[in-house]
Amino acid sequence: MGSEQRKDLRVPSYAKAVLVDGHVPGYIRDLSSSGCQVAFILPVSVAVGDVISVQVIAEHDPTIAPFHVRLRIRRVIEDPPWHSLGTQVETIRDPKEAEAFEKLVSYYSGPAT
Amino acid sequence: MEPLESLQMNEKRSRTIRLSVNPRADFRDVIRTLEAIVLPPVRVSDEHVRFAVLELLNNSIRAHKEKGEPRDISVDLTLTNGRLVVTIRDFGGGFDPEKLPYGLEEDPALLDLHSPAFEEYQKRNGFKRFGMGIYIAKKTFDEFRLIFLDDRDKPMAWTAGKTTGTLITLSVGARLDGSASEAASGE
Repeated sequence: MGSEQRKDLRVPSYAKAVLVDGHVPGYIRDLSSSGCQVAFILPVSVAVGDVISVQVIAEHDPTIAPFHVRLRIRRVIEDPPWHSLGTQVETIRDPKEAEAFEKLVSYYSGPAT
Repeated sequence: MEPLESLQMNEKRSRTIRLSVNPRADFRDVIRTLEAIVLPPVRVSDEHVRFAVLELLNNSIRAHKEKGEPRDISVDLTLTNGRLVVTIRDFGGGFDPEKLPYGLEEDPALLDLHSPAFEEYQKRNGFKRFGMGIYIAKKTFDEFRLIFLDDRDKPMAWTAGKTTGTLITLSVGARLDGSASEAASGE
């Protein structure tokens, strides 16, 4: 196990995140502009330092189309029945995907309505 | 965020916190409201309780939106005899249990999450539905009960166009270290 180094504010969130390699379903549970925690109900074969790609489906903000993001694993958390990963966002090259991620962060960190 | 309300184990009487969730509410507000409730120390972590409730609530909200149902969804969190009991009542029309990738009565410990049925279900729904809400709830809580209701709130078998919604009841007991049960008894 490693340790997360995120210093920016994490906010509780809810978005579906599908591990591209193997279509493993998961959930983004907390989020900041530099990283997120992804919880999987199935074990995933990864280690600290690996980079994974997930498709994010943010169904509660219809203005955010599904997008992909690459995440570097900073922490592996076994918390049955959950298998969670603390991750850091890798550089997002596609501007549309970078914008989508920022919108997701903004949605969950935005003021109460 | 400041605690909104607290379900304290040292109360001798049952106590209920009721949330009325507008299906058009921003989901971030729903998350924040749940986060702000101080849960009693039960066998599983607060985080797991919230994950499971959020997943079921997410399903209910989606069902309300698809049906154009404006009524609120009720979520009751009750502390009684050292147990946390959660009920979720929606008016989303229920769902066809035959379309789930597993049987409603199946033991979650015996489910094969790698079965093609799960992936087929998820692909068929564009990964907007994982088919895991009930599974997660069963893995988290000691007890899980789901009934479909008719327009008089009477239990019924799911029937398209006639079932008005679902009532889900979940419960989990006190922590095994005994701290919760001692507090619950007022000692």
